[in-house]
Amino acid sequence: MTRTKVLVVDDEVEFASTLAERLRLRGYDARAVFNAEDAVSAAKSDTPEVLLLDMKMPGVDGAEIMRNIKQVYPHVEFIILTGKGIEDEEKEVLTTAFAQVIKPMDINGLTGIIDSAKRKKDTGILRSKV
Amino acid sequence: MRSEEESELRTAQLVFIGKILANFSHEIRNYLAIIRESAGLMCDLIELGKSQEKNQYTESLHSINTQVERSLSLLRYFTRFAHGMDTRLTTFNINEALEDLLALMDRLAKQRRVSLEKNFGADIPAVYSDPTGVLLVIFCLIDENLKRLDRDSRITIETSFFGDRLRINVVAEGNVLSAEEKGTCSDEMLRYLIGELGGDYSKERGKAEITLPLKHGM
Repeated sequence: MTRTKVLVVDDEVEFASTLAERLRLRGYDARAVFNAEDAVSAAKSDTPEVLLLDMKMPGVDGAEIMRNIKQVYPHVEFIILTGKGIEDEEKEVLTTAFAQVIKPMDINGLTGIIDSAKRKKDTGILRSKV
Repeated sequence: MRSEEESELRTAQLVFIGKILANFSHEIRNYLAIIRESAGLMCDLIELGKSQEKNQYTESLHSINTQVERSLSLLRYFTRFAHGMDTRLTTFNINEALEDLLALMDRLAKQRRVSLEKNFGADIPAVYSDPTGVLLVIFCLIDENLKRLDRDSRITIETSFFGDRLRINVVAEGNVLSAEEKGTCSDEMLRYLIGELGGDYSKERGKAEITLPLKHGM
């Protein structure tokens, strides 16, 4: 069984690196990047299946990153990492993302959401091939 | 003061406190998230029987320690800031009060990729005034600049004194965005607030200057 490819995008290096390490220990093919530019490059070079995205990185509009990656890789599922929850006015994010998770989070809850996102992504690809 | 002006003042005060609290909360959450993941990684390694990964344990413990230090540092600024509201008029160190404000607004500025810097004069005498009122004014000026400046800009807070007057400059350097958001305080409200502190206010391109009496009301 292939391992789910997960990309963690967060400007807090220690957080993103440690989370990726913990996901790898749980059998995910996980890696971490720490800015928007590297997120887009990583999506191009080795497209993730699930992308964990910090919405509040310095100088970055998280919604724009989502839009840019979704345009080219529509099957990538986004899980938003946030400190306060997404406001109603950020509707684009709410409708585009698979889920939002408030930091600090429980790793078991997170892996459950990642697995659900992966299933949705696989179902979506299957439907588009039929 | 007219009721609309009172309403604007209340709103400005609440926005000020709200943003400081929200920013503080956000920072602490980030530190806790790192602590959780670092502690969790150590648990994972122990459960997986990877006791030979001593380096990883040391790294995780070091990371936890660093985040605790960051949290304590932020808490020191926050506690001093909060206690500044205990009494309306009090004696305080202006450089320390501004340092607290800059530390608590740091993330807000980083979000916009604007650097917040300080250029504080040495040996400024203790100020007798309304510390929260002074910080509200500086917050409004920083907030206004954060909303109008493009990324990679800089805002510098300068302090100095001359005679029995304190001078605070808020200097903005960088390109201005074409679409400007509205600041928390209007210019009229700023002048009112500074007037209430017994001070004067002038503004020229990129620089706002406030002068205040070192001993307000005396």
